[in-house]
Amino acid sequence: MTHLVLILGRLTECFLAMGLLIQTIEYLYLRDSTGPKGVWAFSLQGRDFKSAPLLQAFFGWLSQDAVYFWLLLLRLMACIVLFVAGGSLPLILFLFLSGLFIVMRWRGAFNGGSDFMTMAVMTGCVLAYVIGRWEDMELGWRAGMIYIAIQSATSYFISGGVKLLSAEWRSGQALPLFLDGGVYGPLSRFSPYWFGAVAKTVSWAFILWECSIPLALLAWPNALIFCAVGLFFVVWVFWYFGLNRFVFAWLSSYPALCFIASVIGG
Amino acid sequence: MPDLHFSLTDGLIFIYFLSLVAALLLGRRGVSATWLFLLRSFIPNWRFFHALGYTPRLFVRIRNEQADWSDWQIMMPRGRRHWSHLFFNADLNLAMSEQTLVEQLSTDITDLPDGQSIEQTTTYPMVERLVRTKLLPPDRSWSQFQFCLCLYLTGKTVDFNEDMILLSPELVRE
Repeated sequence: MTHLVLILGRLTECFLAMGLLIQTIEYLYLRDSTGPKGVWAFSLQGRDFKSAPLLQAFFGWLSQDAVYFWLLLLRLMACIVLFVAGGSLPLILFLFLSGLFIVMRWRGAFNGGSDFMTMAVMTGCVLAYVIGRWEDMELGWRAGMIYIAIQSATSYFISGGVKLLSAEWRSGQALPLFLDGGVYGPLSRFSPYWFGAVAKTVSWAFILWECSIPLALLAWPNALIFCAVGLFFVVWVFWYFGLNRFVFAWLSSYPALCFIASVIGG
Repeated sequence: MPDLHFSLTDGLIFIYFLSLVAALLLGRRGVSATWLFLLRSFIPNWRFFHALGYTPRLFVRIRNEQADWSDWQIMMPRGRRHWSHLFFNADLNLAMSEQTLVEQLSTDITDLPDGQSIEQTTTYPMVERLVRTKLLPPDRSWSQFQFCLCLYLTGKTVDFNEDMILLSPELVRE
């Protein structure tokens, strides 16, 4: 079990590093949007911090073009180090704090769910290294894995549960309309998703699979099957909704689900 | 007789998922305070694509030199899919973030305290800049523009008389 938690912890770091690397390259490319003439210029967005002048001044300094550029460059290097050599407390803290700054700079989230899951996995890693610094890494990763698994399992259960409670999802009506209004829409009128039976089948497949997360935690083979289907699901979401960050964010939570299932069910 | 032995861990997991079911049934209040809003990554809302409902959409129109207004043009984030976007999809992610900003403007209008104007919020000037920098045609054939926010049911056609929740002043180009 000692080896398993450390191996799964390392796997978490590798998936997390891949996701963070992609995000950081995209932020570097999008610097015009956060620059002085951009929509997210600090002269406009800084109003969010008006109740805390010191923090506003600090964020204002960090948001300057040159400082922000070097911060992202440092973050890029930190991601590569995390992937190649693994984490350490200072490295993980830097990635966590710079990630926190970036999501606050984009008013809480740049890409919604993927930012939430990325922060959840990073928080799990911070827990692992803080506990590991004073106790040992095995205990640290156990704590980190529990935190990540709770967030990941909650995400699936809530996401499936709200669909189950929605009459439009249960009837299959919601799926084609979301796809039609999505970034790759409008759907072709020949798309199979317009057929009621197809839409209903796909919708129920999502609902049942997402709500089945408690069963996945009962034994590690269940968790492996759940994660394999999960991989297909996140790639499907990327293909139809363009959410590339979603893939790596959820992938990095899968080792924790497998670990918890191996602890609970053996 | 089947073995019905449950451990403490099984019980705790059962209680946890039961509390999630309760949370789902009781609903969830939105995050309104600014700091909670900025730190919402730590209190995630996992309700993705949960139900069809009213979607806020931004519309823009321009006035030409003959003082005629154009038709309203909708801002709709759209892109072309490619497998390589799995590793780099910055433009589309930004477009989705811009739509999130528009949705936030709609929330701000709903939550606006008495006596405060929407122009005083953080979101309004950001949306105005979005319109100015990205949504207006680059040519010099127009002198004024206006934007509006409409809230209407997913899958329906917009009715500007019924669905408009915000109409900007007539603005001049910079």
